[in-house]
Amino acid sequence: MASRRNKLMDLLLRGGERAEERAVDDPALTSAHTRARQALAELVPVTERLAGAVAHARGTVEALSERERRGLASRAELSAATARVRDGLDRLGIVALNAGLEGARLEGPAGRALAMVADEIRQVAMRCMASTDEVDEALHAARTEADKAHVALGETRERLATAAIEASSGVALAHAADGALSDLGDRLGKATGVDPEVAAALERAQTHARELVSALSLASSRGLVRGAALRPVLEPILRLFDQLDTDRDAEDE
Amino acid sequence: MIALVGRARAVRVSPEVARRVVTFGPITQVPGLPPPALGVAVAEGAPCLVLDPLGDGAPDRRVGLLCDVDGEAVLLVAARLASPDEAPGDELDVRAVYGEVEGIIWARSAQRAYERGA
Repeated sequence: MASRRNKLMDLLLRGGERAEERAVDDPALTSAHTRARQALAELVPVTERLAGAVAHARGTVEALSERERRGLASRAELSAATARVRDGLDRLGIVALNAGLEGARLEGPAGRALAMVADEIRQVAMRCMASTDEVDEALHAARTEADKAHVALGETRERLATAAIEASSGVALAHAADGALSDLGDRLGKATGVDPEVAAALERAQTHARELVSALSLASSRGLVRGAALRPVLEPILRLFDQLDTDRDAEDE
Repeated sequence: MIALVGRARAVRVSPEVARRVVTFGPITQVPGLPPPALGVAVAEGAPCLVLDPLGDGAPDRRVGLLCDVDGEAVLLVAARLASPDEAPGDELDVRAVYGEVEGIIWARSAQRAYERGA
């Protein structure tokens, strides 16, 4: 029993050592390749989302530009309308002055009444003219702000165009890096005989096996576990190490 | 009554002389016209002498007071026209102003005729 246990322990340890030898050759490479794959797996969708966000922002800027153009057209219509109002009020003022003049020429109450009405009309026309001036000032202020917004939109459009080119380049570079990393993984697999991802999985499995062996050894030494009970657990591990031995021997040849 | 309001002062024009407030065409300058005459302009389809009694020059807006001075059409201009209540001032003797300009014109014309004859 003890000899069988010792033989089993010896097999497990030797298998672990061989796996360790293989891992010594390129653990840094496989680890770096694994990390690079993980980073690229996150980077590619990030660059694609970034390119999408830039495209969305450009669409928003174009929509804003369209609104700005419509606003400009509306302001031009308003300016033309206030000019027509001003012209009408001007003519109304002239009519009121002439009515006052006729009222002054007429004698009696009729003349005075006409003069009074003419004067009132002229006062209203002057107040309306003042209001029109205020509207013109507000339109001018709005036009000034709109001009500033137009300049800012133009600058934003140019920056977004540059960003779109950069984002597109980023996506292309990320995909190229992904392709290059795949190529690197293939070459690494051909050079070492082991797929880097498989090597990483093997390394993890070796660690688990070592821990299991250590736990079983401790249990056995304390008499907590019988050898027959260990067989279903140990047989898969032994087969794995046998396979590792076979592969190693084939490479050595 | 109509008030002519300038930059510094205002004057009133009697309804006996003033006819209507009108818009007029561009003022054509005439060489030799003495101030306060500015030139000639068309108002209501007829040419008339343009006078600037307040001395402020041609107004921005082509609105003036068309007057009848003994059958002659005379256009008075100012910075703006208003009712007398808005801008009180002395009454302008339009006939005197027109007469002074006409007198100078005739005197110069006579002088030229004399010089040609001599």
